[in-house]
Amino acid sequence: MRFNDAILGIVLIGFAALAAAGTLDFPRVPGQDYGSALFPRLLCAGFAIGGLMLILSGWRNRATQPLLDTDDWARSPAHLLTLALAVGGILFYILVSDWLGFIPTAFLVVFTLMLRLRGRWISSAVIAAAVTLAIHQIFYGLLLVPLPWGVLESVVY
Amino acid sequence: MDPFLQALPLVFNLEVLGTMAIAAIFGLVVGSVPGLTATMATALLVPLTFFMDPVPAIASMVTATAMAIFAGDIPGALLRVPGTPASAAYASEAFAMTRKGLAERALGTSLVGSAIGGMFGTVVLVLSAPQLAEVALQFTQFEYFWLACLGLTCAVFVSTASPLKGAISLIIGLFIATVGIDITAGYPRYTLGIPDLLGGVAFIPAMIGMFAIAEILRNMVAAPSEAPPKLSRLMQLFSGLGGVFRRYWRGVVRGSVLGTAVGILPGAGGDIAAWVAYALSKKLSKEPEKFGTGHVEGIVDAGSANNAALSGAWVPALVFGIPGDSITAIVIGVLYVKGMNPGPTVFIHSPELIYGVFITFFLANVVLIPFGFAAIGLARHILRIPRGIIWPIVLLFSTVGAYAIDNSLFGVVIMLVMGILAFVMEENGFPVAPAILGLVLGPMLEGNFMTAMIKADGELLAFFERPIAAVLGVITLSVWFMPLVMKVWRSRSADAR
Repeated sequence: MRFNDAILGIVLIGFAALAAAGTLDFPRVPGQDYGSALFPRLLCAGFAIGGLMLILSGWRNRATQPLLDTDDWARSPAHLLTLALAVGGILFYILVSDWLGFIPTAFLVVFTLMLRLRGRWISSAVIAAAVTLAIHQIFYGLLLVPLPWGVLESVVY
Repeated sequence: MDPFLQALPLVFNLEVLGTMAIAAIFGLVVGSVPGLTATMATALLVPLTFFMDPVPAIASMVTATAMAIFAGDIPGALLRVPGTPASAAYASEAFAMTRKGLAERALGTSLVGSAIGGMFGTVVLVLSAPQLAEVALQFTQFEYFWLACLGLTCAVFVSTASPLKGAISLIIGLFIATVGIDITAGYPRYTLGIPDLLGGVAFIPAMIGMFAIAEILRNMVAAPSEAPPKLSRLMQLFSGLGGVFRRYWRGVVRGSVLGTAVGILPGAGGDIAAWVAYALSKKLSKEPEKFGTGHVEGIVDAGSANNAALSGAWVPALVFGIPGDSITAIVIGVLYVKGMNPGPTVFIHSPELIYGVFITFFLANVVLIPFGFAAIGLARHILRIPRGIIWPIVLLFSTVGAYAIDNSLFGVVIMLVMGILAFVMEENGFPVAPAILGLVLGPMLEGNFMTAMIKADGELLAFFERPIAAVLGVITLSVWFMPLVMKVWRSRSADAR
């Protein structure tokens, strides 16, 4: 999925304006001319200049570059579903891992994606379980990262 | 006591050697799986090295990347699919050799070439870094400001086809680095009221997102690659190699020198070194017509160059704290997180650490030969691991890694956001490497710039008053304005005609 450079340029300039507006309430240090706003403002200026040049280049190439070029995957529901499962898996982990626990959450995320990519129920479940336990062992067992037990807490303790 | 002798026990102990062995295997597997790059190997290692002392941490990354860069040649030669971008330059050439039945020769050449190139880069690193550090000790904020500008500028111009998009990517990285409590006034900038952002965008989760998550997303929308073909056993790896290296020794030297030089340039790493070395080898060859038909000469040059670049990239990283490629950018970021600021003072305060790092470089390139040999033997099995198994594992490993740094789910949030950002950027032709350099160097650049501005009281000429600063400043400015001058000059000469 490719946007025309001009669209990206407009987005950049909009962002630069927002970010520059954000610097207005950065405090000034008394007796000093340069404060926390100077560097971000320079970067915003950079964004704005870059955005303008992108708009120019997008306009120049408007004949060959459509506003939004959706190549193969953006129109393929199968690919979009796989993409959604990968992003959704991480979101799911963020939302539920604390109370569901690391092992069930990680197993579900890995199993779902593996099933989607390979299509084999039993071997995917076995591999996902092995991977989950191995990674749990590395981080929880060896590196002492407190991965949450969640619903398994009463089982373990 | 001699710092070199002090360094020996730092390296030659069970912990470091064991770590290096595991890292070597890890690097070989990651490198030989197409799609998993050496940079990603580093990114995935970071959560583990975070819990180690500096020497084993750096040792594991040095070993893993050296292995990964070589291992990238294996699928390149056998399947014509480069395992890492650094092998892309000569994957077709090596595959053409495989089709002629010369797979062993191709892989043996690139293995030995990799080890020699890596060793050469290391020698340059060992000889030049302490000398440069002496010079760097005299540097003030003015010199560091220009040096950082020059490094970032190189990254923009070298790493990408579109300098404009490279520059925007760089500014994106620098901008993300401004999030959090700022250094001059202690004011929280762009934190959106989220307390987790007060300390800035956590670097390690951000980097895992940009290199691992973005790659996963890219693979989720890529057409599935065809099933790997049947591969035969490879055994006679070293037969006939003596002849190759006697005949093309110039290529090894050329590739090593060129690779080291490209590696030292900030922002350019093994992939660019290999492309340049391959092209140069063809240009200087007595039989350029044979290139592309399964001719070993280009592999000698380029195979040495990409590993030499890996070591070369550490020169500016260790001496100035300015990364030479995205791998060293990650390592520097990690060292900062651990409170060990790379730069010339490390050479004075803890020279044994530096020597320890040097020794691990030599070790990594020595063990490259036996480990690489084993990897070629096992390649048939590694190449058969299907992507449906690899990507979910990488996804879980990244997620846990991002969580483990602060034991906080906010790290996973940062990883996901940065991963999507990097995915969208690459889809639209923006390279990601400048952004990661910007993210790492942002605080240093702003810190030096602000201190210099306050010192100079806003007098911009002060940035040119010290001799080295003036030279660096003039070089930087001329690189910035060169494209504009060239454009005007070209249109003038076109008008004149």
